[in-house]
Amino acid sequence: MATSTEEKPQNPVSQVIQPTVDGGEDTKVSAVKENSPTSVFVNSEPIREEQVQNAVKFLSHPKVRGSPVLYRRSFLERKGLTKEEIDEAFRRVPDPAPDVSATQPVVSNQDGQPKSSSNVAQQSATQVVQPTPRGQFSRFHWSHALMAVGFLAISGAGTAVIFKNSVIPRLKSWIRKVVFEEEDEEGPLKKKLAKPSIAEEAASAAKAAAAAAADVARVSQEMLVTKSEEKRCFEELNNMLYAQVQEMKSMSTAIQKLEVGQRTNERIFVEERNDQRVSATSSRQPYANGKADTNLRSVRSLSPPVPVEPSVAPHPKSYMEIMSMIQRGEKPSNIREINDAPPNPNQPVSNPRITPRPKPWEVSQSQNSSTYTESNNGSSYEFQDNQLSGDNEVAWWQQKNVRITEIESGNDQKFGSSNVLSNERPVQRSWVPPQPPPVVMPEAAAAIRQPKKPAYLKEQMTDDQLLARSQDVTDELQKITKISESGGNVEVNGESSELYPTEVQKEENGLFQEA
Amino acid sequence: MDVGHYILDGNADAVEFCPHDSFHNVLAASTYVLQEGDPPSRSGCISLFDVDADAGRLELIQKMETAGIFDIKWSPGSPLLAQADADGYVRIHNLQASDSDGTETHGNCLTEVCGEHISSSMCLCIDWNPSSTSMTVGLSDGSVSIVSFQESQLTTLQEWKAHEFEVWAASFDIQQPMLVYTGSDDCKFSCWDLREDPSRLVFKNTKTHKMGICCIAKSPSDPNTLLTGCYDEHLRIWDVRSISKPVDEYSICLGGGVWRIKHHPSVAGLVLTACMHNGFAIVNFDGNQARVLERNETHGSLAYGADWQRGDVFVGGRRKSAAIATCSFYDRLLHVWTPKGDIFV
Repeated sequence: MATSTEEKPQNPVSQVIQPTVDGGEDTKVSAVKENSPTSVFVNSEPIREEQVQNAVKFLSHPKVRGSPVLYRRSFLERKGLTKEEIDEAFRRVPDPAPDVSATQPVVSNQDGQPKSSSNVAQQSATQVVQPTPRGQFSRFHWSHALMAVGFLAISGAGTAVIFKNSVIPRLKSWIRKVVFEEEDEEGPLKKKLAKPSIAEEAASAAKAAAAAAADVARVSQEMLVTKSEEKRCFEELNNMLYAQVQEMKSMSTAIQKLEVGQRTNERIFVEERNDQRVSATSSRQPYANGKADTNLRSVRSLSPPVPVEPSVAPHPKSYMEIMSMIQRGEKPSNIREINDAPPNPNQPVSNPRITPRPKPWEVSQSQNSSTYTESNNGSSYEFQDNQLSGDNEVAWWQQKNVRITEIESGNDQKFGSSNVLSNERPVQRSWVPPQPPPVVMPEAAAAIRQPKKPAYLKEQMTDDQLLARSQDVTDELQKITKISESGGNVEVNGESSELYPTEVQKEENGLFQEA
Repeated sequence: MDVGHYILDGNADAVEFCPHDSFHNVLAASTYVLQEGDPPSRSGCISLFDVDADAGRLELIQKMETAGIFDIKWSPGSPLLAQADADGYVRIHNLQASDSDGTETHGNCLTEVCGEHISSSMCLCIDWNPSSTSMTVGLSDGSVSIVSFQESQLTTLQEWKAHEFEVWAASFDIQQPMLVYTGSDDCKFSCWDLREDPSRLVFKNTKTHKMGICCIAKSPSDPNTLLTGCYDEHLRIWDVRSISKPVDEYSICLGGGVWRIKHHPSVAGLVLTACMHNGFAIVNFDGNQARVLERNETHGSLAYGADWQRGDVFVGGRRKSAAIATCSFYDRLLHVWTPKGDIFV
């Protein structure tokens, strides 16, 4: 066994030695050299036999045999061996084949110590093993460190997880146990728990109450909103009703005019036939013009284009007879006086028949704006209307001083823009502000007949705005009725005129009553 | 306390106490009557009254028939009364105390000094400037005209189209007489600088008033405060210190369109307002709050005219309130009374 062990160390030793020394042949030499220098260096220090023996034992260890010579040497140096001792130890430790003969005598010298050397070698081997792992450790320092850190982390995490999963629930259950025991033990504890629940219930009840109150507030708000919406709707309704009233007014005036126009048309119809006959006769003598001719001609041109049926006309006077009459100064019976004097530039502006310009805050109604634009443009339709109405008035009442105001105001715009026209009315209206009257009520109709007692209305109405509106209504209606009446009554000279105003009035009143 | 009543000849729209020292008892009232016809015409008259609040006397001195009057204003300097009427005329009357009967009180009378047709549209409002040299006139076509009165002559200095609708309120800034505030039915409240020709617009407020502006009254005591009255029934208090625009500090709803605002001649923060459908109200305002001190709802018709009598009297160390004159439109009532409560607290 010893020999086997010795052989084995010999081999690695030889193998180890070989790389360190170049060439195989030099091993002998190196061994010899190793051997020889030891004898030279012995002189400096004495060789401690114990140290050497320990070294031999160390070096004899199989593990040591496997390690490089440098490590062995450094280890022994660290142990405090001198170089001579180290060399001596190396000498004593048997080398492989080439050095066997050289080292045998060395080994044989120390036969008593092969075991001890092996032991030493083993001991030293263990000691060597430790540094080599340390050495090796020093080599793989960083990777080892990383591994250590990783291991620590994983272990820490693992312990944390374990702790979480197992330890804490355990703790909790233990606490619950304790608590449960306490509950069982003490009765008042239960009550205490019940109290917090009552408090919680009270809190929840309060919350519910607050929520209910909030709901109530919201609902009341919504109600207010709806109320205001209702109010608005009501106002809109009022406005629409007012618009309808306006329409009806305009319709009534239109009807008036039509009626007036119709009746005058009938009269003109009769006159027209007479005139046509006269003009027919006069055309035979086209240049025998007298005043009558121009009058007749002008009459014919101005009258409306009514189809003439000369079959049923009374027998007209001849042209010469009429000429002589006029020269004498007499007027023929069935002529119509036309005032064709130039219009008076200084006459005041006529009463506007258009609805007033709405204020910016008033809800703009389509009828108002449309009528305003029509009048503003001075459309041909209205112009003809004016002309017709003016003419009819002239023919009807046979007046010389008829103010052809309607025509002129439509054409001329002498007195400024339609602003003035329109502003007369709005000023009158705005003088009694603020809202246009939407409501046509029986009180309004009564007020028309009693124009200057708005105080009564005040007592009857509750809403202030309605008051204003009704006063507006009364004022406007007053004005309208008066204007229409005056329009019917102005220059009342012709007998026929008396017939019509009453009818007109009745009709108007009827209209308003219906409204 | 009631001093007196009077029923005027026409629909009453303005009452003005004379501010001049020897004529504190003189009250002028103007009327406006629309006569329907073809064409309609407007007539009115100025009535001069002698008021003695202590004796409870309200006596008619003089009545002058003229065109339908929209506004009258006494001049701050001399006892001149300016009238703005529906014919587009501005007429100036001079008040003289003529001791014809040896009694002073019955000797006051108005004589027309001059009149000028300044526009084809109607003159709706008139205001003197603090130096009594010119007047601003608001017209029904939206224009504003500056008319100077010098040596018994009226001349139009400037006229420009300030608004699109009738200008119901035009007044000078008492403390800065080159500024004129105008308010109109187009809901716009503007200020104009007269130093340029044409006047330069200083600011225009279009959003605050929801309806037409009826009255603008600058506080005589506080140069920063201005009040506006509007058809939307709100009296608004403005601070004009901001350069670009006045700041609306406060508004109080008076229950009726605020047609006229009259500052108390000597007490700051006290105004008398004519609230159309809602009678008259005495309002106390202070910075950013206002409250109604007293209401007078004895009139049965639209309240248009109101004014304080000048010349407060101190009795026993305490101010004795002078009379207030109010008038209402359709019932033609002129009422002179003294406030019930103590409004000077």
